[in-house]
Amino acid sequence: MNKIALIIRREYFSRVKKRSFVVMTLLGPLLIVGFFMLVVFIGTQDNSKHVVGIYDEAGKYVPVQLKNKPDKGITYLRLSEPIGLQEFAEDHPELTEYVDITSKTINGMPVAMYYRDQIPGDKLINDLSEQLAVGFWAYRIQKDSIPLHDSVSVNGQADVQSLLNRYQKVEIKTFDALSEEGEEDMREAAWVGMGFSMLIYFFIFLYGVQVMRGIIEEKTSRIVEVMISSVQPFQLMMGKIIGIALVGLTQFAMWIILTITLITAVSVAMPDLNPGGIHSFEASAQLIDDPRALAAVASQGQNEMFELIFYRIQWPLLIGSFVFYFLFGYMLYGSLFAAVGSAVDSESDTQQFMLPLTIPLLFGLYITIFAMGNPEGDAMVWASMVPFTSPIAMMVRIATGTVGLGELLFSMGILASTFLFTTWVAGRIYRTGILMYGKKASYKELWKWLFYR
Amino acid sequence: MAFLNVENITKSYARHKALNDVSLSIPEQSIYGLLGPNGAGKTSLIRIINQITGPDSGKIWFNNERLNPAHVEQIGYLPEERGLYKKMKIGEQALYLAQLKGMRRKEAGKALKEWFDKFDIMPWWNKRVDELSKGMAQKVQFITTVLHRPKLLILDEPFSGFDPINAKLIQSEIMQLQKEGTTIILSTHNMSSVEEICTHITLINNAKNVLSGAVKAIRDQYRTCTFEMEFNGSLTSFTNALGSGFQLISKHTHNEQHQIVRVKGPEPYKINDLLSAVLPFAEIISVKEVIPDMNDIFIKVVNNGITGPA
Repeated sequence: MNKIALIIRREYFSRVKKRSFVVMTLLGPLLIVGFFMLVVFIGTQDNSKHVVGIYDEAGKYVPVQLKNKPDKGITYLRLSEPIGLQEFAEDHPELTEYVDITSKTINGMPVAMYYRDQIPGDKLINDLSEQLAVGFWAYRIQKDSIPLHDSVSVNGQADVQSLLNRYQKVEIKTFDALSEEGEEDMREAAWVGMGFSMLIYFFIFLYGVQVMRGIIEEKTSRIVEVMISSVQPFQLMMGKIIGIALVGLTQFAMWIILTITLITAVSVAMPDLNPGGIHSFEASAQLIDDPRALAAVASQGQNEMFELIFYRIQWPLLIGSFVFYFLFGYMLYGSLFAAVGSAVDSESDTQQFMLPLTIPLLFGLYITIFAMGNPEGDAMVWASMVPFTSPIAMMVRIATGTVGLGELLFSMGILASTFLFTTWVAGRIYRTGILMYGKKASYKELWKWLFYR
Repeated sequence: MAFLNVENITKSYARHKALNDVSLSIPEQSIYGLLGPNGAGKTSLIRIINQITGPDSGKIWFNNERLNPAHVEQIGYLPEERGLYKKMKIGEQALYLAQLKGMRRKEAGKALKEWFDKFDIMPWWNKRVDELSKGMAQKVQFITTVLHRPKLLILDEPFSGFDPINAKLIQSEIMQLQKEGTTIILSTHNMSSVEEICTHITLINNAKNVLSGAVKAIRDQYRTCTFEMEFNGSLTSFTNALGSGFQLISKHTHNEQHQIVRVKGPEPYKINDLLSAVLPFAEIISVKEVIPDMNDIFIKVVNNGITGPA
């Protein structure tokens, strides 16, 4: 077997067999699902007060009384005149949200809800969505004069489907009234991207530090001299970096599989936690005899929940990019962590060299957190290009769909070529550093090592 | 024919010269002692032969070929500072190291079993290194060094860390390997082991090769015509018989008639010349030439900075 393959194999299996790896692999999905459930739970605990001003363009699209929900702190106010966004933002302190229902809305476009101070939570959105659904349905029935029972009694899937569509929740999109007009609020997609950003951040740190530890271990146990009398130092370093990368990918793959399994299990066992559950009332009773339709309703309920997650985001692109950015981001930092590991005698000496690695990584995370609401802004564009922050920042831009293919490939290209450069630098430092004992290396010394023969 | 030829190797680090134009020639199947004080450049030379670092200038010939990465598999190296992966099981680790030296897993497994049986450590196979004592780990390390039957074995202080019994065991293994055709480079401070097993030596001091050759020839070179004689008779008549040119270095008188003396004669005095001079005046009990041991030579060369007689 090729020597580097042997090294990769050892690095991989010695870690995957560890108890801590197994524990992390099982614990990760539990934490993810637990976090998810917590978010849902907090959503139901929402005690914010809302006064929603609603203007119905034709005064007939919602021919039903919108019920106030004092227990949920929701009040609906019908407005007789439309108000501009500026006006809403400045002259209507009594309103917290403003909704404008137009003919477009009735034809399937999402309803626009503008907010001023606080982003409306699922409590309000779900309630309004349900009420509007009933309202729109009532409007259709009036307009088309379709008796309720007829639509169900007609044999044929199309009619069942169209009925279901009417019962579906109305899609509501939220916009900040004070931000640029018409700019879509991409916060959900951005949060998904943020999740991946965090994952990359943690993986780079977790596994980068493992590379460093592994090298310090080889150095302090003194096996390194035996190793490099058999293989090139560069092979040893790359074998370790790649082996640990595979450990990370294995963990990630296991997390995806286990999380999906767990979420499926949870949503089957506890449908109440499903915030997008079926909101129709009589219809469920009427449909109960038709198993096919029931199944459709059930699956649609779930799709609501993941609508955003499954349709708005380009998953293959996101996952593919995640793997790319994780691998190259990790290898870029991993090679530098390797250089640090080789330059010190023990982990307690690593601080002075860790700082320049930690700062860009943290910087990338902070930029992403603060600018995630504006993924097209300068900060995010730059952060997604600079190779030391791009693995973190780019995830949000991909999830929100605000990056073009050319830009993406350009960023990937910069990352890959920087990786080649840092690996070269790390390799030079590494081969000198691993044989240096006892004296504390300074930056000046590291610089000299670069040019040793 | 030399198995390994080191030609004019020079190696400098940022602040000092580790090797300054060092040449040496290591005969096939020799046990070649590499001696020298700490920091003289021995480890630098060993690392260059192992291709861990490269020389600034100079050439190395391995078995008549220019030294190249393919030779790594024909070299076994036991560094002075040695260790193993602490968390790895011994058997698995030895297999891993053997595979890195180009052995196939199956063949390595077979060879390992033989060595483990020979050293009687088969029960350790599934133990982790951090469960072993230092001496035990050293044994394992020695095995991993020689397992792939290297043509050239480089041992840096191989006896340090071993108790006398195991040091003896390792020594006899080294000599056995030499008999089987292995060329061995031994770097050490332990002069008695040099006398016991080395056939040739090179003494490196201050980055330079200050003394090279076969052990016996070097000791001959450093002969000083000093003799130790034990006899019954009068010391006065004994010294008178020696004549001019002789120095009485030391004397030890048991009683009036029983003496042990050390004398240094003018070169090229032989033991027979001494005997024929004093024979009529003393009843000789024993006589021997005092040949300097490697320890003396080492100290002498290093302290004086002289390279000895040509």
